[in-house]
Amino acid sequence: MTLASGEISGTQMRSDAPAGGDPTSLAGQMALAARLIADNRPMELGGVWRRLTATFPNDPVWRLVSCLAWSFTGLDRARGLIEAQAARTLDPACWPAHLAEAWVLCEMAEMDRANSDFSAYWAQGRRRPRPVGHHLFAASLDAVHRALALHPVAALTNDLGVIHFMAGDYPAARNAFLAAMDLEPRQRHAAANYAVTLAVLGELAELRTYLERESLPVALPLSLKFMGMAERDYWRQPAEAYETRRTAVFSQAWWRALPALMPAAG
Amino acid sequence: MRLSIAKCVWGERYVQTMLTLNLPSLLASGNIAAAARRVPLEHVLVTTTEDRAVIEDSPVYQAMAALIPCRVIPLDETPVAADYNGIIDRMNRAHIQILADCRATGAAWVFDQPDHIWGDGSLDHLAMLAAAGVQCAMFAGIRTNRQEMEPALDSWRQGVAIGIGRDALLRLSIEHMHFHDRARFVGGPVAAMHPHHLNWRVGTHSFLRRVFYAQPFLMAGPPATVAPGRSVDLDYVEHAYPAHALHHIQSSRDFLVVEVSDRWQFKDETVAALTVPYLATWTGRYVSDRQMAGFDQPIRFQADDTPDRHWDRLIRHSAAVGATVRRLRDLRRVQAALAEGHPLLAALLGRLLRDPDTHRRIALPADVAFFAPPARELEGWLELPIPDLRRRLLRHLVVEGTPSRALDGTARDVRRAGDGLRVDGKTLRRVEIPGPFGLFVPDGA
Repeated sequence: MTLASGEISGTQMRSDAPAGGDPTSLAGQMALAARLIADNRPMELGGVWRRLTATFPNDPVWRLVSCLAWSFTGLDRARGLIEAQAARTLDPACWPAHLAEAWVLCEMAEMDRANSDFSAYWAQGRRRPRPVGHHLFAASLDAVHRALALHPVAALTNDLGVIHFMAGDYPAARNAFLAAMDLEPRQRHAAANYAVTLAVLGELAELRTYLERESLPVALPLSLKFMGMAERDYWRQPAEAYETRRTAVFSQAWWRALPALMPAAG
Repeated sequence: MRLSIAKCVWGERYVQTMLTLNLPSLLASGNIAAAARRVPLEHVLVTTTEDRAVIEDSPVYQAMAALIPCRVIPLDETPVAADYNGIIDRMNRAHIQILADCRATGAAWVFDQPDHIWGDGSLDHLAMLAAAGVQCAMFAGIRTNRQEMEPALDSWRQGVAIGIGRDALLRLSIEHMHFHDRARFVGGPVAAMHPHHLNWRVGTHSFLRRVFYAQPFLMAGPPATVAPGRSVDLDYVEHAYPAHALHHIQSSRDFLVVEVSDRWQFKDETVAALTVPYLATWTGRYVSDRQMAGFDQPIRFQADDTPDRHWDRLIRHSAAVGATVRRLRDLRRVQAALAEGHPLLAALLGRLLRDPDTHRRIALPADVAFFAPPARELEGWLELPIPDLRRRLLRHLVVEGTPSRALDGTARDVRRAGDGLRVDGKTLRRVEIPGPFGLFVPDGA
């Protein structure tokens, strides 16, 4: 496959394009994707790949890179979901495909739930208590469980916790983050997500104990650190804009795994 | 004055949106045709060579070119980053091209975007404002779901035009409002991380909006010395036009432009509700005093017969929210100033500023002063439950003009003592703090 003329991206034109090879070839694009993922620049991957006019080959890795490109910037999650589902259909044993599907489905479920809650709010003119463990997240939970069955590691257990967190089931989220840290005590996303969940649950005493006891493998947002201080020291700091709005984050495991699956890097 | 309806567009998705929604809505009888009877109009497009060919081939563009002069300016295609910031940078460069073009031709810029839908009569309203000498007209459109709006608008297509009245467009927009805007309703089920504007539901087809970042839709005589920073709607207006030159459009019945976005785009929400303390914190970090003043201009989005008294009540309520947010922003500055020299006072203030109810329980007069008790007493306050802390506080807050009675009614014996005061037999000295507040602490503290 070659790319249509005039489709050389801004990234390719800059000096940080991958060295060697034809950048307009399939292998060149794959190398570029691997490079951007390794450099933690998936946002740029979105910009580059969205401009490709070529049809992607029916290959799970291509489909997953495409999923990343379409959904990471949030510009087209529906397209991202189609790509993830195509990838896991092509290769049912590919855990990143199931995890990618879980990730996109979870984000879409959050938006669907908010839209549904909003309709009720609009009709009644008031906010209703939100049910815990909303059914809209069931498909996302199914997908993450499929990924976990194929690849039972701490990062994926963290992602299970994130979906519970997003569904509003904070106790289940806390248990998943603890389980992830049992599997891998230095799993950085679970370590931070556990702190966030304790803050959301209002369990500040446990949060303080946790922060005093553990040397975390990740830098926490300042406000979470402050919550772990003695109360007077926490209150003395002016509130930070997002301190009560922290949310749990996914592990990035599925797209970080892609370069290893690519023929050029393999 | 000539009006230049100008925008930039590139890429198949946005070109198609422009051709199927934006240009047809401009062709409604109350838009280009009506406005052209008031003032000279032209349409200016900043785009790529490739997209230009598609656009000029389309019947809707040809229909517009038959009505008013249409020009195309080549898009500045200097490479930009491939991420979303790159898209914004490219758009901003195009806006700079448009501003330069307006300066060169002496036209006023009617700000447009390829994903804007104009309610019938809205462009004529802008033309009327321009003819009346308005320099800069501000509004805040509604973001809607493209996937639902596009088929819904088919019922209003008349040939190449979409002629939809402002009330009907508002009702559709409420029904298909984007997640982005739904997360900015006070009391709603989700809340945005970045509350650029706030909405209050008024009736089934109406809501009130107040905005921190309003959008300029008409810009006359853009000064050559000012360029937009990241985008036209953030800091540009603040630097380009004095406050008195701004005209805030206050009703969707005068003017309504809505935007269409992908249903799954712009996810920005949390489960934490929008609270006044949060707004004070967020605006303290991201909103200038001038943008804060824009919040004083309520916009009525109205497509029903909700009685005026309901609107008035919400306008008063939302104005009070704005005033409280301002007060808490000032107190945040006080807290930051106290953090070094008076950490105990900073901690107590920080605790109260985080509390979601205190701003409702304590109405601070304009010239309020605090007579701080000795440090050992303040230490004890840190442990108090918030309601008890508030009670203690009220006993030590006074109006500076009448300091002999605290806000809870307690009589205080207050006398002048040099530069300070003698309160109930104890000498207090004034501590300089930002804002309109007085602070007196025990001598030696």
